[in-house]
Amino acid sequence: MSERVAGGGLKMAALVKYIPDPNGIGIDPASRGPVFSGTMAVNTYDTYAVAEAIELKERYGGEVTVVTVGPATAREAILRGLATGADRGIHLQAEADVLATLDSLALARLIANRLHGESFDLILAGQQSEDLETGQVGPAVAALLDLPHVSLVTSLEADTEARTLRIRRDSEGRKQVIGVDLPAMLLMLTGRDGEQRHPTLKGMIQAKRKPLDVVEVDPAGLGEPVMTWSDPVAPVREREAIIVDGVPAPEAAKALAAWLREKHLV
Amino acid sequence: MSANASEQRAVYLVADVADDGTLRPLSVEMVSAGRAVADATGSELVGVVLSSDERAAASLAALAGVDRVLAATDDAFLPWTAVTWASAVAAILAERTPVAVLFPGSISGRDYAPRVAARFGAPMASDISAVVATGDGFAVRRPVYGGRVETTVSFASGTTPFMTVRPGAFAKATPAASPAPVEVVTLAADALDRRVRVLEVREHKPSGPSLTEAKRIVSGGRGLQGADAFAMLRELADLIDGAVGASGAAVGQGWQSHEIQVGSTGHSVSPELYLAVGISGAPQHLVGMQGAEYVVAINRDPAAPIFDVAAFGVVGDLFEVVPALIAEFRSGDAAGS
Repeated sequence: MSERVAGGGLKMAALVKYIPDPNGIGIDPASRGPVFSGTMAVNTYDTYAVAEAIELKERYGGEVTVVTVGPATAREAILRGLATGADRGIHLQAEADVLATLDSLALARLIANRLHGESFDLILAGQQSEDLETGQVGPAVAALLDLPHVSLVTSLEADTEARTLRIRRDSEGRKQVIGVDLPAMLLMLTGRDGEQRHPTLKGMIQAKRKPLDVVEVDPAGLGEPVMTWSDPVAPVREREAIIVDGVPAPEAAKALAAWLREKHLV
Repeated sequence: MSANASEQRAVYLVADVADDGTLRPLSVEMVSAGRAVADATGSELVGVVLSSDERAAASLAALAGVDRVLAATDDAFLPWTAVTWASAVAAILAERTPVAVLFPGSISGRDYAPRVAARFGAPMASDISAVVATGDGFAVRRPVYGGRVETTVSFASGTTPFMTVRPGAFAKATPAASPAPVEVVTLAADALDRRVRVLEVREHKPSGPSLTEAKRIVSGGRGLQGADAFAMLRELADLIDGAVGASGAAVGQGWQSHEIQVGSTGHSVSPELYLAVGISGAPQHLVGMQGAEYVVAINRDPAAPIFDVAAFGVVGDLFEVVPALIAEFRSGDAAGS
């Protein structure tokens, strides 16, 4: 393995996705398609990945590279990472309409191809994105780089001498402790004590001076799409539920309470 | 995956197996999804079961719609890890020619299936909720943007589609008149990826009625708009001897601790009553509450997908409906005592 960080420590990459703010999505009654507020946000789970990487750097030494695939505006997601303590950025840049045709595996290939050869000790990402929610990119990147991956991670400690990790993960109410050797990939479920790092003004100024590698994605190199998908629409469903709509709250509550008692649920 | 012209076309279904070695209920729904894909492509449906023994394979073989079952047993399969399962499934598929492969849309299935798909360069659709026969094959539907909208996914010809099956979306398969044959598959010792080691497992036992044992759960989501409104849910839960839960959205906002999160990144619960307040019903949430006997939803958005799984729904402002419900139970108690 080459390009070890001088003086030991962990060479880390944190993957982030810049997405439409999940709080700002509505349904257009006419088209039944989604309408977006226009506000963008860093995928929440990915903010945990960046924060954990920076925390690990502060404890064990090393460096943190923030990586994203997205249009020019997605640079904001990298700058936020750089402003909170990451060291450099990699922006795999393409037009939004090109990216919209890429499936999760194609995205994972773009990322894996760029990270391959960098010999990262640890790659961190969020458990899943909050927009398309495939949850595929993280495990696929790990598979393409032949790294073991551990999901639903809540915290970890490293032994930089033995080059092993001791990881805590939460799965369906079970808490597990996992051991894995470096290099490895982790998918973060929560942040350290739920805290997220917020960029300061000073941090934002410093971020603009940190190295940022912008790589233009060549659409010709992406190959034919292996899958396509329709524009999303809100489904029209047959519902079996008793629905109380347009009724004053006290009456609705009375009807619900009566139903619950009838079913012996309370 | 190797080509073999003489081989019967087959759709493979990798079953959802619990850490205790039993078949999980999602596997029974997956058979219906797998059967639809098999029928649309003129294929047989082959179950693949990884476990520590053959109980789960026998359970799957007993379901109508399954043509045969491949059973691989190894102590390394449980407790589950993504790398071990991905390597085992890849080893099994590498010697076969699947038309399509279905995985559980469970926490574990969503975790290892993309590893296998990447290994074969296969297109993959997560969380499918329907299979649509197209005449020359099939397409699938899947939810996006928190389940508020859905998209129809088509696969290029010549590819082997992979997919994970959303819990609660397909009907449960019925028992077969006679069980399908079970073939034991032996994997080479070096086929399994053992790089991830499970060192400790602890069941989480919070004080009070635990989420996983509670008969009644009152759960809050993004609609609560902040941590404060959870006090209202606690009051309601106490009145009906229930536990309080939260959606991933509410936990992600920092309103509640992850300890009480219900969903694909939290607990799976199976209460008699699940009262979802201000929860839209994202697939990641539905995964965790599919075991509930009755779901009640209170939400201001009549299009929220939570109403699709609800037995009783109130479309309205939760900040009015929940206090009214609390008042209703208080007066009911007074009248009853």
